[in-house]
Amino acid sequence: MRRASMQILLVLLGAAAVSAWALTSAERSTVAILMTVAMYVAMTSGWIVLGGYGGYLNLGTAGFFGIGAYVTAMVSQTTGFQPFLTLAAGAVVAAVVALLIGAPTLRLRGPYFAIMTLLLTFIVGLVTQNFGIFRGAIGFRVPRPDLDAAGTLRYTFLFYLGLAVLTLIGMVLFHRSTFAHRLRAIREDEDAAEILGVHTARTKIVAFMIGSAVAGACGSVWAWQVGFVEPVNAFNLLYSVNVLLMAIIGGSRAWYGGLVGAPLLLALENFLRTTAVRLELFGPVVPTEFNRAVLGFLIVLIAIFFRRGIAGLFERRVGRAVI
Amino acid sequence: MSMALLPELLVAGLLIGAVYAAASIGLSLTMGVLRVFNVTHGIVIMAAGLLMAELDRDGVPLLLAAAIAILAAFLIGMAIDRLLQLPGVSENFGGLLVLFGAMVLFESLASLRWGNEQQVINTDRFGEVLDLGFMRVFPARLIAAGIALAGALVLLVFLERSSLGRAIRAIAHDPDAARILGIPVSRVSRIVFGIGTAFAALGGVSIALVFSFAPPSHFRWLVWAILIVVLGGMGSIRGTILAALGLGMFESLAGALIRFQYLPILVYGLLVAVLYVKRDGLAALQERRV
Repeated sequence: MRRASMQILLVLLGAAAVSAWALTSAERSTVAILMTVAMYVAMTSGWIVLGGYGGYLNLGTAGFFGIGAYVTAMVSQTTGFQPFLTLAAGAVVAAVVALLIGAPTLRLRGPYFAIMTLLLTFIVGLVTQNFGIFRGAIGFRVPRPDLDAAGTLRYTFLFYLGLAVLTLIGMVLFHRSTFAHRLRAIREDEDAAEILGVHTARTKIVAFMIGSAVAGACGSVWAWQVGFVEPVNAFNLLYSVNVLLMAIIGGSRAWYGGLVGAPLLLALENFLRTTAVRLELFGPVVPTEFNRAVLGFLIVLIAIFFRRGIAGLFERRVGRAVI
Repeated sequence: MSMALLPELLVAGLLIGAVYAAASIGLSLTMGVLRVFNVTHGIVIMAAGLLMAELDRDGVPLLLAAAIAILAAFLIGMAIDRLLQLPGVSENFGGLLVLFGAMVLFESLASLRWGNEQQVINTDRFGEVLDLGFMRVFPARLIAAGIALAGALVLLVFLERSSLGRAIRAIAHDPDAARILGIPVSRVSRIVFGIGTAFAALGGVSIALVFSFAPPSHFRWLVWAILIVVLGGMGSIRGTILAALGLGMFESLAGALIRFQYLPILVYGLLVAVLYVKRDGLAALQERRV
């Protein structure tokens, strides 16, 4: 466990350094970027539990993110600004929805799980648009912390950073746990895992619920970060795409996959956006579709050429020679 | 709902169901034969409708525009299958990652090209509303249903009578045995994927005659197609057609009883329920791909 303690210490030191940088920095944009990185580090780490260790493709991060945002928006209509309460509520409801989706689809193997999670984002969007209690496109105004703009930004940043640190520490411990071993066994050979006594369905469902709870918690913070929640901004497929790419680029079989992947992809997206502006492809405002098209293309390329991500470069090649 | 409405609702449901059949038989074919979940199906449907509408606005005859859209889809399908057959790709979540990336890419390109607003094709050119005595029908709906059923019939005859169709059925049955018997499996599966997406485009053509369409709507059509294929049985063209007609009538009747907006939610609920109940029907997909 000495190595694990070292890794946890490194995470904490890194977080302390990043927060010192963000809290003393005069540039609001620096804080905003660090905030987004922290949010994606948390969500991607949560995704990796089932997606990387278990080998089941979850395309529904945006759905759980939006559910967390909606729960927060609706709860805080009566309670006012209660960040910890709404965070817990968002995470719990997201986990319950994950249970409902996962129970039928994770008992099956193959692509059903991926398909149902992909469709989930679409369907929760429809539900919020059409059922009266969700107020359709009018959406909810979410109470925000009683601070000025810069203060709110720092406050939000600290929440995301806290989530990122908690999930990273969780990932360090998880990486060595029997739970992770069970998931790896499922990924490598589900029949063999079952024969060896792994409750495959239960293990997969719990892993899925963990990732969804983290996405729900991030959505919860995001709700008061933006102060306004409606179907289109809350259930944006882009969250699913980003998390998927970050996990795969960073390396979905390592506990630090999210830590590596999130800043890399965000830097790449930023570079693409500024390049598109400089080359005057679309004028001063680059449409979000351009960004998405590039990300889609990137997924295709990665699926073909770069399947283990950055972490794959450091993976031991045991077993390769045997095949 | 009064009983006098019943025949009208059933006929309307059958006409819509025929369009649903066109939108889903391509998916049934690729899922049944290649055991791959083509999530680009919905966006190909939408893109075909949008391409046809654009060509139509440019003065290309509608029939030619539809043919161009279908041919383009066929070529794109062959290209996607080429990617899927690259070494190692199918290990990666069964090729689903490539398909998901392609879906995001196509969706964004379609939005950049055609915008996100709902479009319709001007259907006045097909003449006046027809009076069948007990109900009135838009001729565009009849044409859409006709195209859909004709396409389905052609596919059925092709699969059952031609030698290529026999090879496709052999691969669906057992790809390894088919390979031993000398069937060029990878070449035939490329054609299968091409036909599958070409039929998605055919679905798009008939959808464009009945519904409004836009790139973001592709999820809706993907949900419907998946539900129909799961209900009807993967790879079973007859089952898929029957399930599509059934869903059309179910929707038509349900639409008379509940608010229109709740329908998609009902359909998604139906899909989850079917997944709970009809496990063995899904077993086919768990097998290894060619």
